[in-house]
Amino acid sequence: MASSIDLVWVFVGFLFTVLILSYVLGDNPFFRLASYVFVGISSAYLVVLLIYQVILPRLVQPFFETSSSQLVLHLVLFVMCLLLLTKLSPRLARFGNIPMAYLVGAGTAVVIGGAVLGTIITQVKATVAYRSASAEIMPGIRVLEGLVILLGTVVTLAYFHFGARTKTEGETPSRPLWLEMLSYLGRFFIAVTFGALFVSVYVSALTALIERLSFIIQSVPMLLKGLG
Amino acid sequence: MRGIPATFVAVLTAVMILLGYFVSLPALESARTLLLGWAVTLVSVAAIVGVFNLVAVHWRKLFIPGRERDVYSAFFLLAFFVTLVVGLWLSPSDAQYQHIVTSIQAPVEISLMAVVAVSLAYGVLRMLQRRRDLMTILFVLSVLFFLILESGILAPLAYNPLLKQILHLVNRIPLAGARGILLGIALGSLTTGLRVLFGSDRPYRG
Repeated sequence: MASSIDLVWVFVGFLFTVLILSYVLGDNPFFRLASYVFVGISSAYLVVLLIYQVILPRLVQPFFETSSSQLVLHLVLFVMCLLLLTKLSPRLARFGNIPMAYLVGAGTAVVIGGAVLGTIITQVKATVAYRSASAEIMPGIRVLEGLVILLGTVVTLAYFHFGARTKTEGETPSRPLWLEMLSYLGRFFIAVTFGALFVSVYVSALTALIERLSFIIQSVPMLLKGLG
Repeated sequence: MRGIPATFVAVLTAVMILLGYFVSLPALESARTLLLGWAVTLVSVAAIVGVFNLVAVHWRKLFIPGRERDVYSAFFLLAFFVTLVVGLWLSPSDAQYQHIVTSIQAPVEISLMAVVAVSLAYGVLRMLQRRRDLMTILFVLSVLFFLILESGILAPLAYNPLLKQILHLVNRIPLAGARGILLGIALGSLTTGLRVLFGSDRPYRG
């Protein structure tokens, strides 16, 4: 037997589900209301989480716990955080450029490191030295599989090569013929890949839709019983 | 001249962190850890600044005279301040607070995902109506094939050894395409990162 508090939260969940699902009929005030409330709650929750889990332990507590030599370093961070707050005012926003530059620099390093170590090296290695995960696959099919992977990777990359040259003056720039052919084959791999990715997302979304419809079907009798 | 200190900070930070990644020296590694730790704190402050900017925008939409009032902003502000005050009072680890927040967040997020199912199906139908080229046909055929495959209808075919091999091979095609796309994204990120590292792109000059 659900308590009255539980029923209130079931009602809240039911209400927000119906308000959001009303979008299926087109953009409407009910959907907007639910989305504005959702954004308000989520952004406040984010601020609360950041204050308790990052700002207090990483920015405030060290002032009371670190040695004087570390304190100087910590002051640099503190000043940068204060400068970043100036971004809230259009007049003072330029003072926040230094911490923004720091963030861009750190982000750049992480992106370069991640791209080189995490993607380029590992994916190239995996493509060149491809081994089928399944032991039941015939040797001939395994070779074919490796070739498909290699060819697919190369032609997909070729599709995204948009550099073009002109041979004579006044001529429209175009890609070399071999690159054009590779990129045409690349379109096949891209279309099939996007199709497979689409299906993954669609199946997840469909699961969510079934879950919500089942929630509505289950909660209506529960709420009616609670009202009665 | 005005942007030089910011460029210097960006390049120095990036170089120090990259050295920490690629050169195995304890001093560089600890510098990388320190600098990344600072970046985490700064990202949090930047996120808070972003949220307060959002609040300011809704505040202006509601209270600045001479503009058409957006009544939905009132609901945003109410939800924001109630959640913020209660959260600061109870702390985010409080079970009751978490229950209240997730009781609203979870149904909304799952429902938005559910709406995506309808929008995606509608989008594919619209695409079929408006664009009928080779890419569209290939994409739709791929969608139909993988939908059938995901549904499990073709599971009995796995008992036939030859069909099993063919299905396995067809399943590899998206892997190859995804790998090409991933490599393309990584190469693009690397190029953009290098442009920032060499100071030719300066997205921090606001």
